Amino acid sequence: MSILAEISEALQKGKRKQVTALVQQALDEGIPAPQILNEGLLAGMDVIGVRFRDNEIFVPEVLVAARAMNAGAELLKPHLAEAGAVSKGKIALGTVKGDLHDIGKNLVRMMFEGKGFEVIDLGVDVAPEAFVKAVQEQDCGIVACSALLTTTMPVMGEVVKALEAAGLRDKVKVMVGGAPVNQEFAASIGADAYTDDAASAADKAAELIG
Amino acid sequence: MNSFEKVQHCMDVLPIKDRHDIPVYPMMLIYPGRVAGFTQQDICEDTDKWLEALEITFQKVGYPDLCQGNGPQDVIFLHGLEAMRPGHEVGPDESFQLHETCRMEVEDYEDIAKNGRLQWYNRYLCTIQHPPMTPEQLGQRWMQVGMNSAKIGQYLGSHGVVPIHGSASAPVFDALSMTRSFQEFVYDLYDEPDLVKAAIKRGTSEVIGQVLGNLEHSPIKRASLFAMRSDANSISPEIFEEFSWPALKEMIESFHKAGVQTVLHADGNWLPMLPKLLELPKGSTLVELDGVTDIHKAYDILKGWLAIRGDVPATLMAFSTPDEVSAYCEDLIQMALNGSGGLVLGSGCEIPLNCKLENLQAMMDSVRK
Repeated sequence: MSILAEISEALQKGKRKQVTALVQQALDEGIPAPQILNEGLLAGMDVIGVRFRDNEIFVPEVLVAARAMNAGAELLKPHLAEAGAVSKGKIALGTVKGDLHDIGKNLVRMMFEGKGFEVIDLGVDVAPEAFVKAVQEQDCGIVACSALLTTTMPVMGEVVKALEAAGLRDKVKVMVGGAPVNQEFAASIGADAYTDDAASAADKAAELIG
Repeated sequence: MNSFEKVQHCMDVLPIKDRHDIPVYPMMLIYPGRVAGFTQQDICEDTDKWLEALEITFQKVGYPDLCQGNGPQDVIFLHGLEAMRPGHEVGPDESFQLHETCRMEVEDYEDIAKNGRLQWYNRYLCTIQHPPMTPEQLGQRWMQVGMNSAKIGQYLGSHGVVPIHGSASAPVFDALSMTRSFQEFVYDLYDEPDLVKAAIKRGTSEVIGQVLGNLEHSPIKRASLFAMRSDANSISPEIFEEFSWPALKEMIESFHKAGVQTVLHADGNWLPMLPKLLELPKGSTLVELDGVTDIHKAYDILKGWLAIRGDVPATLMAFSTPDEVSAYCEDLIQMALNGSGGLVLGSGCEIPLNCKLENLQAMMDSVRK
């Protein structure tokens, strides 16, 4: 088994220390950082994403795999910067204004990162204007909104309108999700995509701008 | 049958011949404020005001068979998480929300395992109040919960409505997940499994004693267990079986032996976990589903053994029409009539703040045709 395959496998098992050691070993062997990232870490997260989407694994397995990925990616950071590596795109992510829930949003962030996207995490209680600002300042290709309350779901529609008002709607795709959200609601507010789990959200993002 | 008889018949999982025998339970903690024209701050700071709002709501849509035994003033406290309160941390007419942050260290598992969870939890509870409380103030707050609970029980009893429980708690596994915060707790399950198990073991025996103690003088021999983190959206079936289930089973069996039925509030997707519940004594538990678990599949698994409550979704109540709500309820009613009873027609978790009153009316009317 190649060392990159070993990294992928260790990551899938959530073996953080092993991933760190293997990434260091790969760097020491002269494997380029972008190759370690793509064929080791992100390849492992791809498998995790598919297995999660297919209900073969559950959130805890995703969390420990993402933790292992982050540990490996931390080692790669300076090397990736040196190599001028770029992400697959930027996503502005947040739980909408009035809503303080973040467990689902954080899981989606991990899956986005596992697909190689750079995530601008705006946190919780995010006003429509803050999404607009992030798109303007960070050149995001996707705005991803989360809500867990039926009372805050309409704010997702306000985000779409704010992007339109700022003349940005044609430049970004809007994704929505969260326990009470469904496809019908997403369509009614003019969102581009709704997915019902974090792995599908990452797949959809890749489909939209990847 | 009156509401008391309907509820008991349902929990004993006995067949029904008529839709009128299905108890209806729209869980309405925050919504009555909207119906009555009171702010969320009003009803969250004053249990009398909440009861007034509840009465105004019931006058409009009719009395349900079941109602929660605690008002928002105490539910906010009982959740055991830092609360964002209406009129303080959120707007006066916004719903309260719970702010989950890591408030517990790995070493606290050892403290709980060695010295018990209650001493730790009471210390923790003092720190998350606005402003933080002294142990004496916390004791007074617990007394207030008891007094409010008695007041609510008296009000409901006078209208023939059954309180869902006489005491409520959370399984230790789920409570630890919230106080430690979800992500950190999951890491602990992998990094420190023995510490977590030891804390759960010690804490569980305390919760059993506490709940049974509370119920000793209560006429309602039912205990709610809020298992908010034992579902398949939070953990895997393997983790459930290893960490959560042994203690949950021990609690429910202990309650059953003491003549107490359990109301298991099962938010999230419980489908992969439900087969384990068949190990529980027949009729021991009412499983409350929130719309995420496929209720038909759940009913197929549990029918004739345990009762279920569910699961008109919050989204449906907020954004659909009365006809759509009626159709959804009718589907559930037919499931129970053609099956073996054991259904409480209920909201999926809670009636949302932006529920349309006509949708609630449609739900209430569906068992009264």
